[in-house]
Amino acid sequence: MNGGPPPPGRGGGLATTVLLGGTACFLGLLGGLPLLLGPAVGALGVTASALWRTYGRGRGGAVALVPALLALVVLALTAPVAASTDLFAGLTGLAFLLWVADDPGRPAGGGRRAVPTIAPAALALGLAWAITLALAGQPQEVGLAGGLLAAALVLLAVLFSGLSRHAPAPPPPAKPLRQASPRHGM
Amino acid sequence: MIEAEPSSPPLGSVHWTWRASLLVAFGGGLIALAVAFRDAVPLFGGIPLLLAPLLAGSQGSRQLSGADLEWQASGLGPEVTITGALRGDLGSSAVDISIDVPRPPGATEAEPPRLERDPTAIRFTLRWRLSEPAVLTLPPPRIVWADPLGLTERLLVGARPSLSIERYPLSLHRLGSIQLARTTTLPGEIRSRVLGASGEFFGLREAATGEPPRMINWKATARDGRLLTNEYRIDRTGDLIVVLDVRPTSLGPDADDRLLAVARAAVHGIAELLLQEKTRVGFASFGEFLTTVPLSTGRGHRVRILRAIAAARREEIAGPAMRCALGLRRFYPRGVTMLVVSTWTEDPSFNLVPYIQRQGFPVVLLSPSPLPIRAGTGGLAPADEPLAERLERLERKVRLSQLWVHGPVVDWEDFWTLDPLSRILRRPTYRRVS
Repeated sequence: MNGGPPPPGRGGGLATTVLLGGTACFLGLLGGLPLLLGPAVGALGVTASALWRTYGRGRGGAVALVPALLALVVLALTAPVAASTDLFAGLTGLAFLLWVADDPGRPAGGGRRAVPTIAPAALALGLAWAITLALAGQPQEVGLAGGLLAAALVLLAVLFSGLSRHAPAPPPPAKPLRQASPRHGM
Repeated sequence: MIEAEPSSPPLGSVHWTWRASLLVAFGGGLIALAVAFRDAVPLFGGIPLLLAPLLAGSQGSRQLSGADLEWQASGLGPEVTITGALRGDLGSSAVDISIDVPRPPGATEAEPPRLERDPTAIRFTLRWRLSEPAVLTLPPPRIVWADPLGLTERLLVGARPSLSIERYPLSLHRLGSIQLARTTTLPGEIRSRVLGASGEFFGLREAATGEPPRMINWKATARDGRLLTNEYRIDRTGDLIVVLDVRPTSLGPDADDRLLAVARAAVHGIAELLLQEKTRVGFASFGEFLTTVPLSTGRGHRVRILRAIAAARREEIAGPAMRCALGLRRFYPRGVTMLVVSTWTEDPSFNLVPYIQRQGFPVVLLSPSPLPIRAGTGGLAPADEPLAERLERLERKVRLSQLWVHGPVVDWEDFWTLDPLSRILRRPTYRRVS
């Protein structure tokens, strides 16, 4: 039971689907696949996921993410190394997260409410892309640098979550001291 | 309230959902491919996927971890309305909390659930409709916080009481006014002292013909202008033993369980109402062997007997009817009214009534009919269903009519009324062995 009115700023999932489809198609256009095959792969994956999410519920709803993820993998692997393809691969990943948050089957979702989770990921992506631009011309080293950066960010996130989870609980309130009752008849 | 409290799940830990596992798998795969092929594009695609579950987990650990649940059931007859509130310092995360109330089998949703959320409480209302009378214990609902992406979940701790739902046949409350025969003395009571009136004053009633003068309340008679006598609480008490047949029948385990659930609800209601009236109630269930709760009254006995009723389950092996009758004779004094609750669809030797009656107990048979449960399950064409149902009803009537020589029989087909039973228990001639 998770009903009730939807949170403010909640869409029906269409806007984020269009956003994800748009970024995936553009990544396909920039990518190494023949001219129309790239956008077709992106559009097909996003459409399949959107339909699956609409008509399949329960655990099947989680599996609905797979077609879009597979399309992202195919497009990212076939894309040539360039600043634009790097950027659009990252943007497609972020758009995918927004689309995941905007699930109409989850009243508690919503892209705006997911900003605290997506913003640090976008920040990490922006940093990585900025470093790539700064070191343009040596893709292998950029890849390694990006990998190290991502690993450091992941480590930071893990440490942060672990510290918050094991925060010490506040001590229980102290019991009031019992007053000794006066004795009679000693 | 009656059944043992179900064990609560482990609390407070943050765990990833299937979505998070998928994102981590694909994100990790993309980064691994990026490193393997020395290609930066999959790396950029994988970073958001890999970071999102970790960030969602760290957010989850900062959210609230405690909220107390209060809930209650109301309604009449088949209607069940559950209202509840989850209280705590929920803040803006109230919208992320879901409450999963398990709907018991046999209950259908009459209206969609309603939720109202504010920073201090989540209030909910559920409306169900029960198909049959039932005594249920709803386990505590699973109350989960999930992040807006649905990547991490956290079970919330706090007070989680289970909820008891008791829905008896609507006319059961009329049984409370029935005066059953007293057949045995109370513990510590001496027979000779019962010759006169004794016990706690209950009320006044009009004097019957032949009432001894010492029973007359002369002051009340003078005030009212007609002969009134005192009535004592002890005069109103009686004895009843309820025998629940939990043997397997040819109907199959599913139908047996469903009929037994209906029978348990009826027995539960009968025992509770009669115990409220200080009537002494005993309970016995018979499967392969006899399990008994002695004849008594009082609050402690109420708890004991209701626990025994709730624990009665269908047994795999059927004991012989003679064993039940001999066991009852051993545990209970002769002459106590026996209410046998049994579906009885088998051959005559399976039936408990003649054997119990031969041991000196006046017997009333309450037989929950399997016809309402089996209707439409025979795989017949819709046009043939009424004819098949009519034939089955006739066959059952013929079988049950043969038992009237041993005692009154109630063919219980409409599970939401017990008027035929209360009518029979009101007739004094059925309560004693002639």
